[in-house]
Amino acid sequence: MSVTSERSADGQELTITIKGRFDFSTHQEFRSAYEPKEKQASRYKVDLKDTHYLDSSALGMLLLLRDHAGGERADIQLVNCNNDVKKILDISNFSKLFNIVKTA
Amino acid sequence: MSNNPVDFNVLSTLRDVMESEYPALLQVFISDSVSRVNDMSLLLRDPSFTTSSIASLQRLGLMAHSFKGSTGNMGATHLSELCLQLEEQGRGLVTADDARIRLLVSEIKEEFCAVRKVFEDELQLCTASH
Amino acid sequence: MMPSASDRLTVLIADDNVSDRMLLSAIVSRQGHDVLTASDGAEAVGLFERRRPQLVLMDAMMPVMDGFEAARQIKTLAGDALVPIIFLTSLTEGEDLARCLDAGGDDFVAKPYNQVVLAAKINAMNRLRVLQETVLHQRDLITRHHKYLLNEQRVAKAVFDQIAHSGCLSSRNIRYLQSPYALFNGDLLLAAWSPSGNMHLLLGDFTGHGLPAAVGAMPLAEVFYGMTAKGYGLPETLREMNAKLKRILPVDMFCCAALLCLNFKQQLVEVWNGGLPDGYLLHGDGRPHTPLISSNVPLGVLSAGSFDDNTQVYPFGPGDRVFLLSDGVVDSTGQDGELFGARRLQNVLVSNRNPALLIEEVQWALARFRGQARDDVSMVEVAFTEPDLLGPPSVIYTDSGDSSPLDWSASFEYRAATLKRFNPLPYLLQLVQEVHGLRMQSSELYIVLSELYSNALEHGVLGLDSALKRDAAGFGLYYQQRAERLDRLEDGFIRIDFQVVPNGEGGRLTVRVQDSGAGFDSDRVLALPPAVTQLSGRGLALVRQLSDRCQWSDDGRTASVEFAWEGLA
Repeated sequence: MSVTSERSADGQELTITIKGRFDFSTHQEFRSAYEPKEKQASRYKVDLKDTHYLDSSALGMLLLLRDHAGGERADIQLVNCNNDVKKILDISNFSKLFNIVKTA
Repeated sequence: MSNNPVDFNVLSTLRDVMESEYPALLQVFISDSVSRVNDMSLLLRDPSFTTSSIASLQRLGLMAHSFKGSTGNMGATHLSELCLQLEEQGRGLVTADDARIRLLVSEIKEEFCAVRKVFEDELQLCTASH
Repeated sequence: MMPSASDRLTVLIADDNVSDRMLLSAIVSRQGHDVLTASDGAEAVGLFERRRPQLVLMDAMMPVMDGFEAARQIKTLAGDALVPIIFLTSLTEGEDLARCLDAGGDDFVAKPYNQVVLAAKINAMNRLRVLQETVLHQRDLITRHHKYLLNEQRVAKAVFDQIAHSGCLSSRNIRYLQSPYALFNGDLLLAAWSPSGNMHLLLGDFTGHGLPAAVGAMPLAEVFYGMTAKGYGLPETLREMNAKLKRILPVDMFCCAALLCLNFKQQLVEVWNGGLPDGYLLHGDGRPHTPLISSNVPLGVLSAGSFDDNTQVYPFGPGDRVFLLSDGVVDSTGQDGELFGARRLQNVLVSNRNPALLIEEVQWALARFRGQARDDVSMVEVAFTEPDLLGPPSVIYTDSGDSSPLDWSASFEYRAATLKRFNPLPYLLQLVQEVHGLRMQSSELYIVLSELYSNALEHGVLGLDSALKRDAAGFGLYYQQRAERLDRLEDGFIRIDFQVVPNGEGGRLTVRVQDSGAGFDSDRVLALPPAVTQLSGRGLALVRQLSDRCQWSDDGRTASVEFAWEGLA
């Protein structure tokens, strides 16, 4: 499992890509991807295209990101969600908290 | 095979390692070896000793093995080599030959005399320099 | 922890040759170590036992006991610790060398002795020895720490059991499966009676494991039991539980939960599911089961303003059961990593013939699938049961009664904005319970007040027609309309008056409930035969049964009930 991040050209959007299992062992890396940066991003994307598994600690990490990004005002998209990932997000109704984009 | 009964490089290392204990080591070796050589001769002179007695052959082999070790450590290379040959006879690594065995023991006795002389000279040198 | 070259070891030298012994002792002492010497195997073992050296140099061929046997005995004496044994040998055959290692030797050194090689081997063996020592030390630390953890959990569980035991999980209509340490998997199962005879049930699954998962369970249980006992409904209880968890739990922790309110008198069940796998409403008449889908975010995530406390309501009558489960069931993985899944579970539900065996059958299916039990599987099944009209025993208060208010009246008017969000009943019940004489009838009081209030709200103010509740489809429509109309409500009111007057040693309470609705023909409704299957008429018949006297105004907009009590002993 690995976590990489990338800023958009205008610095406004931060994209975090997760590969492999998104679980408790990802915790530290995930936080480092968005925590104190020189300038805070205003939009976030979490790319889950190479992720096939999320557990409840992954859901917790997404909540931490949401809290960091402004809580109820946060603008976070979860993109490239395959069926397995979408199912997990659906049970907890995370579509009410995040903008979820399925894999095309 | 060197003509020198004792390898002086080894002696030099021994002197270095043992420091003040060097003379004691020589003395201990000499007296210990005297009894070992004696024991070997006694074993051969015993009427129960034959090359068909595995037990007595093994005893001889063990004696030779042990003596091989100590002589090797002391730099008496040729003597150690003779002991190896005797050990092979005793442990059945070669076919036991009575004549050969007796010859080896006799050679061991003779070689030991030469080795002993070298060590006694060394001892003289040590006491002399003190 | 790397050993330095200056680590001073105690080295045991076992060699039957006196000059070899002397030489070795000198070599090893020069390296800075302390030396013990033995001239045969037995002496070596004895010396080892007494002095416990860290490392052994062992001659293979020795009298009395040879090096191999001595090595075996020393290794046994050493136990878990690593005492390296380096064989001293002029054996050259591979077989002999192998014998040294088989006997427990860790390395060998050839004669004649090379002090450089010997030093290197001693150091290498010492590094291994230290490594083993570190491993054992850490193992002991871990074991001790583990014992502490287990003890902490035991204590936490004992505290929790005090809080949780006050529920009604042992009721005859509940069957459940839960591991004794479910608490530390974050699994929570609570059940309690409300004053009106409804049963509230909660199945929860906290994120995490161990104490962090258990810690949220206690405040949650307190809210659940407290509010249920006071007569609060599901929405208020849910709001309070969500707010509490949101406040006390860290951002990344939350509780997936399903909450039920089973109303046996009105034959309905109210459901809220936030984050648990689908539960199932199993019908006794052979209809296919109805999934109870998670349509909410788990508890402890959303702020109060965004929290959705809307519940689904379904008919629930004789033969019906509700089945809830934690994700340990559907997430169980088989040999090839496949999930057990909802489909397999539904197969078990469909093929079940004896309801009493349902939970066992799910367990068997799980065991067959994975070959191994998981300890975080929680399941609960609640069956419909004929209501005990008087509900659970009333709580008896023990104060003396001298301060009981005996002659008073109070009026309340709840208008549209309040009717939308507020349930006044717990507060009103609390109020009348100040009258000690009424305490023995608090269940009846609560049932009657609830009934009159919900009639006033649903039929009066919202204008709903309970004839709709004839079948399952109508049921759904009724509650959907209820939610919609309540949400759109702009005008309307419900007035509730209380009048308490003394009467000899006892007294009498009169309650009037008036609504702003169109009214109804009370005589006509009450004249209907008390059809057990007809849900709409049950409420009013109940009111008549439980109160001392009841009547309606001519237009049906005001109901008036009386409760009397005798003097207390």
